Amino acid sequence: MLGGSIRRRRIRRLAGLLLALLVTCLLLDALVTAGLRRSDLPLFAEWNDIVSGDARSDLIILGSSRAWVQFSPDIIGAGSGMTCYNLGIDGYTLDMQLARYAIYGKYDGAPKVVALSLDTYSLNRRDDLYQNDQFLPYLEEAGIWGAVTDYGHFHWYDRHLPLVRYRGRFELICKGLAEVLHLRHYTSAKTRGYQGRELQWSKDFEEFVEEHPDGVDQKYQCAMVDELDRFLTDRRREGVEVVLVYPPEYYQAREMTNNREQIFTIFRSLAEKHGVTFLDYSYDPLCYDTAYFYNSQHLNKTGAELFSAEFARDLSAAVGSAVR
Amino acid sequence: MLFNSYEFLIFFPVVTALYFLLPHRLRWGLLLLASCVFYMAFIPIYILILAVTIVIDYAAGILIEKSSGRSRRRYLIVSIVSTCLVLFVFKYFGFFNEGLAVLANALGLHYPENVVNIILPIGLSFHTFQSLSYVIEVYRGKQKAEKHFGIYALYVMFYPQLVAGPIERPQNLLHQLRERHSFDWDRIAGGLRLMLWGLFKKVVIADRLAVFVDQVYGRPEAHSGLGLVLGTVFFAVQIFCDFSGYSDIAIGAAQVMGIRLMTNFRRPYSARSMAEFWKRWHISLSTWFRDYLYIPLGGSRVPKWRWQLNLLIVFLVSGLWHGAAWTFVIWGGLNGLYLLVSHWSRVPREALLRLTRLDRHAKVHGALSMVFIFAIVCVGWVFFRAADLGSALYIIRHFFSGWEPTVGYVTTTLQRMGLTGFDILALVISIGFLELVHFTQRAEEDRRLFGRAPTVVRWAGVYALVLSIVVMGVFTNNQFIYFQF
Repeated sequence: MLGGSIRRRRIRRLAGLLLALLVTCLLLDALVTAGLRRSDLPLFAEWNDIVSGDARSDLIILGSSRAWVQFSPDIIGAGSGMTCYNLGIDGYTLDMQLARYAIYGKYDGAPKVVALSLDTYSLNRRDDLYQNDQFLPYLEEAGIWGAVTDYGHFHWYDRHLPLVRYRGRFELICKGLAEVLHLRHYTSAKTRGYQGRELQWSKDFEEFVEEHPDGVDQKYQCAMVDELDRFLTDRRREGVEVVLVYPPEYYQAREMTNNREQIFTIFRSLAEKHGVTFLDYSYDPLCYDTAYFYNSQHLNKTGAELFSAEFARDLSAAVGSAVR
Repeated sequence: MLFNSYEFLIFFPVVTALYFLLPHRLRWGLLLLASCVFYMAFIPIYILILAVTIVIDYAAGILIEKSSGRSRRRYLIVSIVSTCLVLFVFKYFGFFNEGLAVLANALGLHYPENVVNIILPIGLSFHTFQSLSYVIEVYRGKQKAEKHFGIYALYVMFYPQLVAGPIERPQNLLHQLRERHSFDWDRIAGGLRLMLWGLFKKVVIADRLAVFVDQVYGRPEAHSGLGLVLGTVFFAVQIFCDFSGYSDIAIGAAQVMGIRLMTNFRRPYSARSMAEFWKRWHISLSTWFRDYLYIPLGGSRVPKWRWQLNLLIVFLVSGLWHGAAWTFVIWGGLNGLYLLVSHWSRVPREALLRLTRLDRHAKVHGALSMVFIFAIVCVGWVFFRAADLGSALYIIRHFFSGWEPTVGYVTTTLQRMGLTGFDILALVISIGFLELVHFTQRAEEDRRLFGRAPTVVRWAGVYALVLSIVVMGVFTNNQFIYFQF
């Protein structure tokens, strides 16, 4: 009898402990998520703007880091007369760029124009989920969950068990809590998704040439080509004007991609098939001066501002009628 | 399988539940099967090596017991040689091969330099020593030969301590594998608490420190004196939390099933002498060397010079046990030397104490001794952790170079190590918690963690441990350091 009552008491205590842990985890998870969604931390600022509807604009820039650091929404907006937001996502190629656009569409509606910034590696899907912390506060969002599950980095428990997604991410937890408790507001150096980099030409390109004296072959997958094809078809059906853009690249880097022409043929043929403008800045005068770049693929702030102004003019000429 | 892996999170409850559900006569079979699965999660084929040593030592035990006189000794020697041969081939062959090549070159002889790359079977040194202790104890007549092959195999392979100890003695473990263990709530809760404690030490402290230690020891020349000192102190804490964390999980897991493994650590960094340190650090190995090497060599019952030589031999062999590299040999030798120096310097040290009147302030003297012992242990750890002898010597030579009493210097050093404010906060909280528990438990063994505390404190401790692991843990599935031995 006594054994039974002791056992019951112990089970009650264990249940109490588990319940206390569960409640704490639920509470912490909710607070951290709310804090990170409120913050302007560089990893989350654009996702937060997208999900809250603050990214809604006439013109959306899509692309990788080459979009993020090269297209200034303020300059392009002033030059084209359109509101603009830069959705460039660092480190990712076309599939994640388009997934981000799909999520944007869900929360912010369709823009009038999409400028898709292309790279020679745009059609090569990366295997890992780069900077995966950026997705953590949004794992509940079906669109984001759908975009990240294929990478195999997150699992069901990350999405459904409280706090598990933040395990070991002490810094994020602290920042989320500081934000939600109004102890500190974290900001980002980005403006509407754009960040001009005040950097000088580095030795990266010279080291790359030394490492790859015969250049490199950029991989691409047919599935990615099909995805771009589908994207262009869908936008045409929606009445969204698309412009394909190849931003400036340091001229010597052109020679380093052995199959560059093959990839450009894909871009050109898709542009032709869908009747969209392809603005290629590979031979722009900016490309010949390292003063405008910090490495072969990225313009620095000076270069980016000059390019943005030029792009705004070209864009107005290309899609002028569509936006008015 | 790693204790800090998701696989173990499923493996352990399943095996434990089955263990208590099965009738007693089938439990050894379950544990043996579980141990095989556990071991084969690393490199499956290497279980054959384990099987070979098990068969040899099982047969040797029976033959030793049945025979007498010279043949008894012969069976012991055959068993020891064959067990050590396995260890030699897989662990030391490359080291001796390289040594021979260097020696031959120096003598101008031709030596065919064949590079041998053998992957060391995980935990080989641990289960080899456990097997050796069995045959030696049978030979000494202190342990009856185990006739049940399955039970003997389980003695060598018992999964909680298979790959990194504690290195058990047959007198302690074998009979427990035969005993009936009932479902005891207090014992199980205690075991689970200890496992949680071990996991906390591993994933919250050791694995976080590992990042900065790797940074410093990966490129020592990129760090200033303060960086090298911090990296070494961090390693001292890392290796303690890593290895004692493993031992805690092993002891806790065994305790859940009713099996009591020997204590392996007793807060070693609170030692006030080197002799005390070695009574607190890796106790199962220290006592193994004491019982099977130091005492057979004559221990302290020999002329003084011989005793000192014995001590040095034991520590050199201990160093070599840890790894087939000169850095480990030097680490062992250095620790042996520390003991000898502490013996030689007893009289002047006592005189110094009287002179400084520290002998009247036991607490201050104790604290200073503790700091001094920790410092010299850290010097030893440099050889243990460094990639090679050159790096170790570089680190020690540069411990005091470039120090600047400025905030900028400290900030730059921490930045170079990759330490952020959040890392420092996490380390202060977690190491603070560790020390708080050590302080409040100082009169208790770790296995009785929170055992005598009021219910509220006990449950709050568990609650804090779970939350700390989730929030501050590093989940990169880092191996335990001692797996490589």
